[in-house]
Amino acid sequence: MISYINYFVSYTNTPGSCRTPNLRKVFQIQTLQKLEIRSFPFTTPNIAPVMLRLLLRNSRLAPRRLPATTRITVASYNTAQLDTSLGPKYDSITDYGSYRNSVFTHRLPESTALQSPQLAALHSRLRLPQEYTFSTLSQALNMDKFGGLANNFGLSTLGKTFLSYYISEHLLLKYPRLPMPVHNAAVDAYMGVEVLAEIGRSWGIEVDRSSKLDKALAKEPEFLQYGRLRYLSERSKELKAEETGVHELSAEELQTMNNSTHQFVHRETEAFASSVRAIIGGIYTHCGEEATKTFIHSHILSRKVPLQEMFQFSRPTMELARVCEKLGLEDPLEIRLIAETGRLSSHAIFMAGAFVGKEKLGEGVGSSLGEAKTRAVVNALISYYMYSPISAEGTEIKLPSEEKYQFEGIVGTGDVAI
Amino acid sequence: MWKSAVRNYSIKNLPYESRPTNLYNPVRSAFNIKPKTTQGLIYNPPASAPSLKDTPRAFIPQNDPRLTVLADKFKTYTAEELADMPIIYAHKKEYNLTPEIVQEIITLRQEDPEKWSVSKLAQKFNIEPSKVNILTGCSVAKQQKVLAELETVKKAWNETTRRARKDRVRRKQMWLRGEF
Repeated sequence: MISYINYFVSYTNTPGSCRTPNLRKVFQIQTLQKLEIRSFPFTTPNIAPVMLRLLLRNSRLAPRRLPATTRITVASYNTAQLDTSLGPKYDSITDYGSYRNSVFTHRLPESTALQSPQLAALHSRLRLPQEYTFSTLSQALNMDKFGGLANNFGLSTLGKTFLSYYISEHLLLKYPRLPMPVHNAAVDAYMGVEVLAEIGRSWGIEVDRSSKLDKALAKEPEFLQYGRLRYLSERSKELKAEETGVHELSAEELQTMNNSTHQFVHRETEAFASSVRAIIGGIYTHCGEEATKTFIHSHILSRKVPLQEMFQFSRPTMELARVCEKLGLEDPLEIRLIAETGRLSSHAIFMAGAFVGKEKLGEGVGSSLGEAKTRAVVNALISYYMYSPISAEGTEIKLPSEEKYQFEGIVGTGDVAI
Repeated sequence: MWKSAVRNYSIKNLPYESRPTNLYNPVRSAFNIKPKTTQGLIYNPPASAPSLKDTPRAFIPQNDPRLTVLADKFKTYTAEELADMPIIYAHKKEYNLTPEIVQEIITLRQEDPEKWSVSKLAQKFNIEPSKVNILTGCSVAKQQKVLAELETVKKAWNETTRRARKDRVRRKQMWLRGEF
């Protein structure tokens, strides 16, 4: 029987090259990568490299259509999903405390985990509190569902929930007028898979890449593996000699494949991201909510996300006129020429300002009247959407998760229709 | 033609002067007053575009303390200052259209679209061309014809023109993102 296996042929042989917190960069890399997908038949895995070369040269098969190939959307950050392969069981669907996975697992003994130097290093590097046990940290690095040891699925779900809560809270309270697409892009820039994976790599998490045979030959102590990120199957560890630039897509990767951009979330990226989420979930389990909040604020929300570079307008002048109308400004919107130089030269510079009555909303500089006008209007719109409230004392406003919280600031009134 | 525009002497023949000589002597002049340095910290930032994080007063909601604390920091332009800055675009609403005028515009456009173009109708009835467009609508056939003409024009472009047009589109996208 002929089995069809989808291969992912990448001419840039760095599948994790889109590791950057800068969102726009991520998008650029996604579009820049020249990727191609082909599907082809072969019978045994041994002849795969030969067949691959032959088929790449000769065949022109169309890529196979795959069902349910949607990329993870931002909306999914807020919803915990069940992993059916772990056999979840519950008394009642709304009784969340009764959810249990029926796969047999046991926890790593703390005495074994304490022997691992990588776990000790990671524990002290992240300045985790004493209550955070090494066995939980080891569990956070375990993606292997059926190896017998407890995996990080539950911890990761917990961490994801806390991340999405604190990040949404930060964005909604600090920037109440942010449009929905920019808000989503900002959430993605804070806790997207690529970003979290990059954080995990910067924490110095290592991947367990050696097979059981390698470990036996190297006489490696057993506890060393418990400090590494375990997501590779034994078979893929043994098949080390991959063709350069060729990467076999797993079922999980196919799920995240975007057909228009040919971009997918690499399993390693997903594994790093899930371990970061699980470590955050572990902090809640051992140290409570306050410690989780501090950790998220110092490691995730402290990252610089350039919100004002995430805007792209289609009809800015009309949008600004609608915004002024919505705010009830009585005078009409006027764009005035503030200054100019070298109008008749090849390098003219104009400075325009968007005015409402006697108030200036924004100004922009450009080499033509149209450019100056558009830039003035775009700047006015960005300064409207980027409004951030302050408290009566002039300090940053309180967040709902703080003690004795009283509402300050404003509730965004939503986008305008253009 | 070019010859007349380009200077016909070499600058090497001109005498060199590091600073212009005139009656004023900068070293010995009585007006050469030494600058007096200000003690302590001073605030003198270089000229730059206003920050987008400083929300203009018109956009600050009523309950924000900035409205009272920074009340005298916000600039209100006087009528003279505004008169110095000519309007290049104004968003004005006009309600001078009656059903009769609308009907006349539609009939004229339907009778002879070649003669009564959108701009001519706008001129005749003194309204904006976009309003004429909305009133009369655009026919699919006409749109396709114009687009086909545009395609033939585009085919005549050489590589340089095509690249320049593409760059122009990309530059406009950068304006809309507030990029440079």
